[in-house]
Amino acid sequence: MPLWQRGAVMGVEVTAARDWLAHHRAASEQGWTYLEFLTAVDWPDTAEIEIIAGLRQAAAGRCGDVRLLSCRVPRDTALVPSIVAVHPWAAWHERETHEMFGVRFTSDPGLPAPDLRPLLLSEVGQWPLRRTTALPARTDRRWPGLSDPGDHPPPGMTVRRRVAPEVPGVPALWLAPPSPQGEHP
Amino acid sequence: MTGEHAAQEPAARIELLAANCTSCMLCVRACPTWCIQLDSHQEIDPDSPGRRPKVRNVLDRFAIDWGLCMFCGICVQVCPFEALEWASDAVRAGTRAELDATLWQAPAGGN
Repeated sequence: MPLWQRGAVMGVEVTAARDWLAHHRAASEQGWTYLEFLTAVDWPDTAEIEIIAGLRQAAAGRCGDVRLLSCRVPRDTALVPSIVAVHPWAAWHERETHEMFGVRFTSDPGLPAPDLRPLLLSEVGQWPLRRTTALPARTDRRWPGLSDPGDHPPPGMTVRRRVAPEVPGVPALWLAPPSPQGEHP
Repeated sequence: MTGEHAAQEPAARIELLAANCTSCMLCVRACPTWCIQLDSHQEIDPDSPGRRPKVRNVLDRFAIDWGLCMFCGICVQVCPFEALEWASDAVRAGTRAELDATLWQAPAGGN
């Protein structure tokens, strides 16, 4: 049986961002001590970023259920409390989530600030996994499907006007004018 | 792989049967990796009967960028004229000129 079929994925528990750390601490005390992943989902329609984390009970191993915790924060500020105090290895996931989505993780006063240095990119600020970030391979190149035999008619005949086919794989969000640099650095 | 495919030669390249191609652009527009380039023009069919001249498409150049192609076979499936087919001889790494020599180009002097 594939690993992902072992155990069930439980429904998502949505918390407020300010309760994010407390909720993780409570879950950890209930035995959900293994953080399987932490990532984010961009929801441009509601101008929110959802942080989502999957937890397992270490005692149950890989056969146990996965419990999902989530919180939503505004896209432009995207401040979320770090859960490194509960799961030290969340530091890697938080670095990656910051690099890919521009989420800033914060720690309580008195604790060291989360390490948010980029893991892959030489410069941050593009947030590659936000849905509004255009993929250059799709926006910097002309779609080959735009050309048509009718563009080169026989001598003496004119090019017939036609409706240009819709370019696939390029969401309208990528073609919108870039938003002012209001997103945090 | 299904049993039907297992007995066949491995699919390693997509080949154009230029005689069947009508330059309809279906394969180019269906390709998810944008790896097919097709250049064509129109000319008057000299054999067309009647007074109104009939226009036909003429293929000039057909190229698959093997650096982008992921061998999904959608172009082979979508072609209504059976002008694309799987071939078993893989495209080998080489210089630009050697790779260009594997592309289909209209013969000099028209076809």
